[in-house]
Amino acid sequence: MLARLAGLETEYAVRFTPAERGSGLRPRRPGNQVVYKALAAAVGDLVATRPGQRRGAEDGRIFTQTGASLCYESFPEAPDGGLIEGGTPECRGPSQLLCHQKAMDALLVRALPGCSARLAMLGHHGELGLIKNCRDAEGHVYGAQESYEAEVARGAGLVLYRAALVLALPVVLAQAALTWALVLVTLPVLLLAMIAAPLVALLVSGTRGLRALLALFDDGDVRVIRGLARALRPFGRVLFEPLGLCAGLPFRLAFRRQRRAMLAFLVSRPIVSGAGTLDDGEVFSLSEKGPVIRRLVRLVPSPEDRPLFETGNLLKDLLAPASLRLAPVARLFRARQRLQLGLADSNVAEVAEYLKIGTTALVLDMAEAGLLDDAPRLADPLAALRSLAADPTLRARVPVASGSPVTALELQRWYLERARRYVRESPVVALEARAIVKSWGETLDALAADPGQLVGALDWVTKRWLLEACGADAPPAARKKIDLRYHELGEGYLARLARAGLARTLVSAAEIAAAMEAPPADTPAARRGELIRDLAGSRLPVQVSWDSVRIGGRLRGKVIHLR
Amino acid sequence: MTPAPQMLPQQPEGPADPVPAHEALLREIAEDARREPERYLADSLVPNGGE
Repeated sequence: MLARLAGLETEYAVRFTPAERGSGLRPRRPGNQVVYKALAAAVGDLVATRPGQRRGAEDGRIFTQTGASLCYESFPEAPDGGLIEGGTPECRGPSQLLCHQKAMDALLVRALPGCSARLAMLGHHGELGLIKNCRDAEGHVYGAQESYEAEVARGAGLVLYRAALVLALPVVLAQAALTWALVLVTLPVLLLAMIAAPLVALLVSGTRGLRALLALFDDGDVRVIRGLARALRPFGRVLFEPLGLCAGLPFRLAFRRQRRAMLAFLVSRPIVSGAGTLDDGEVFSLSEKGPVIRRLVRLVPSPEDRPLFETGNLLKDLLAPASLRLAPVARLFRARQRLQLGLADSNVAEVAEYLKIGTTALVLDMAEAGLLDDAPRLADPLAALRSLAADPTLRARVPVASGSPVTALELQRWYLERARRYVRESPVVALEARAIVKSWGETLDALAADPGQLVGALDWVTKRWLLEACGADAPPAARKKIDLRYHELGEGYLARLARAGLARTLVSAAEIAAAMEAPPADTPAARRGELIRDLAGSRLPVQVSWDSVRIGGRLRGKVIHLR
Repeated sequence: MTPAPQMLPQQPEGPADPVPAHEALLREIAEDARREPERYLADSLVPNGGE
């Protein structure tokens, strides 16, 4: 019970306020990529780190001695507008995961002064902060994802899933060949253009023309890259849409039992795990991410296609042949895979974070044990999610396939009752499962009686209380600042409430300090962290990934597999 | 390597109305929120957000 591997990925938004100079002019802020490089270096001053293998839209990934990871995630057309992504090491059990998430947050807070000093040396003086939330002031959404190791299918379902993967392989290989053909054709053309364009500009308009051309590639001016990205988009569609259709089949067959059993739980979960958010019209709702979920399962690798059940991790593995790697495709045939949830708000309140991962892990255990096959079926899950996530009164009712419409509290109570029975009747005594069930029940009771009792425990309750206590008569921008700064690490409003004893803590400072130093035992992170620590002083090139550590060069190097 | 941590028992419920006990902190937060809020919002934008 609760023994599966689990992890959290969190995208932190960068806040940088440049210091005013004597002239009264405010200098330009550094790009987020520059901030990330300074932050990664500052983290490296505090703990042992080694570089990670680069994948997709991420840059400069590092792994730490605890097996955790940091990287910079951006789109090619906006290299400076990205986010800092932190991934916890793989953990066993919700309390261990909470502890390592708090350790990640604490490590970043400790690295901020070193990062600011590095930025100042580059001429960027100002105030730096990291915001652990999911939505900025203009409504752009990013945030958190949860991962749980889970059974992809069993019996005939597993055979069908694997058969669908085999059927998808020819398309995947054709797509890889097409990608490389495109690269081989466009690369010489681009090289030729890079040589010819300055010569033509020089010949036609002299040095003025050359300067104008160079200005197009000026730091921070990404018009050319944006233009190229726009021009290449149709090729991307041709390459990826057939893949999406083929990949859709195996991933439609993956985690079917858990998806069916968990859906009503996840749709109603924002009453416990929602971060709370204030929209343009000053309307307060429970979840930052809930309103932007467009699909139940991701079938194509597009950022607009935001799903409740994320399959981007599996799609990336399926696309690996395009980067000449076949091992990730082979791993997709394993019976246990990483089930990723896209519907997850970033939590700063510890009780909310703990209940989010604890109740979800418990529900997954029950789903795989076949105890939730009669779970409530929502008539329209996405409409239900929007309706429930928008309602801080908790009175909204959503239709179910059979019976009367239900509230989010009623749905959560249904799962809670099953969990109580599961824990009671389990032959194995799981103390943590009992603690989760107890806390879950108390939280639902408090939500039904008076959510105000949960100030300092649940994010949406605490934020709403803060908006009323500190911002009732404030202008909209100040209220929005409360919404955002509530989540800032270190100096944010929840952090200040916690220091004043107003936010409940579940993990001690000593446990967080230990989790900043050592990886969780009995996980792939344990070996990864151990190797990173052992190789800290070595001159050998080292490349770390979630699955392996390569020591030495690409040809003669040794690869140590972690799973 | 760290074993799974021992969770601390939850602290008792906070006061029914926590405002009076922490008025100074709430005043500090209220003042901070009113300090150049537009700049704070602009400085934390993520126009090309992630997943």
